[in-house]
Amino acid sequence: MAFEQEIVALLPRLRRMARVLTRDATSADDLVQIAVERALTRRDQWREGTRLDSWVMRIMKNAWIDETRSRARWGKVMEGEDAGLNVGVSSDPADSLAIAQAMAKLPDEQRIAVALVLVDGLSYADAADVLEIPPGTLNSRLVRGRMALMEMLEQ
Amino acid sequence: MSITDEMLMAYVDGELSEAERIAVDSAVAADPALFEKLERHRRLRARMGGAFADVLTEPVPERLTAAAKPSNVVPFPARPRAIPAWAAMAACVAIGLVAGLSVPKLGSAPTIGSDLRAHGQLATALDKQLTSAPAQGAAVRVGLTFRSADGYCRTFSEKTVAGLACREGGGWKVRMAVAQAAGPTSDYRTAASETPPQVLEAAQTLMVGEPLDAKAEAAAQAKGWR
Repeated sequence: MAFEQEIVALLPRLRRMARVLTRDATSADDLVQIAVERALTRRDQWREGTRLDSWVMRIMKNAWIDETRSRARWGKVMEGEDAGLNVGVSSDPADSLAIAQAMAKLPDEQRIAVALVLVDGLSYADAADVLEIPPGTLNSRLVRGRMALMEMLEQ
Repeated sequence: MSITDEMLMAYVDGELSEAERIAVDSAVAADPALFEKLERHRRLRARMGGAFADVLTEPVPERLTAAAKPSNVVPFPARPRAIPAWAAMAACVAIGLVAGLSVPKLGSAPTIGSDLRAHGQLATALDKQLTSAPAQGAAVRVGLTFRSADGYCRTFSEKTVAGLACREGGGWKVRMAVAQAAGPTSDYRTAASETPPQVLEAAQTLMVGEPLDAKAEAAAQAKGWR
């Protein structure tokens, strides 16, 4: 499959991941668009034989971090109460909303770790690779994030 | 061994080694509180996967498909909204699993006879496999071994089905079997590696005492599971 086609095939997954990270569907698609554009400009940096999905996810992660930093600089930090505009039509909208709000309250680094493993379904090794962190660091972020989520969601 | 939350999480994520998984299975089967803890982790994983799942089947906005094809001067005609091939595959697998749920003899029919006695590969695995020497590449994998009021029982799993068989009349009788479900959120990791909760629960109900350790298991096998 051509490079571009593979990226197109990844779009649904990228969009889902972006929904978990951002506050509404439009910002999510903006993030995906930035990631896709960067991936295409840097396609010569992708090494044949390595996983394209991890590579694009990593680009999107970096774009999100850039975006988060500039947002923090301007003082427009995402509020937990605003979250939930990002969930689509769901089989259980109330549950999806509760989860989105709980996720929004997690520190960024825990949120993305939890999202990669529990929402995108990556293995620990692949998630650590996307985040460019050692496995032990991923593990502790996952544990803290999930314990906090269970606390919030099981009240 | 004390089982941490971290281990239970790794268990539901399919990240434990065979030996670690068996250790968790034994501990969970012997401890209802730990079982409930494991269930909490499993529920969280399922809920997280479900909450954002619908995004996958939404039509992808034109601007994104366009961004992925800067070289195309002529815009593509609007394509019928496509469900990605792997999503369709996942759906088929899910349907297959659901259809199999109510049928006691699943998939490889020779493994479980109509009287629910184990035959073929399943019978061999139940007779021969030991936790201390996991069979590499075997189609059927035996998990826990324990004693019920009536004799030895063992949990087993293969690619599509997992269950529990007990010694009866010189053979193994399958007491329960469930379809192995793929993790709800993994798009490409479809092989379920954990023991389904129903099986652990059944084991908990039947078990007298603790699960057998490797030594006791080998001794029981040497005596022909009598």
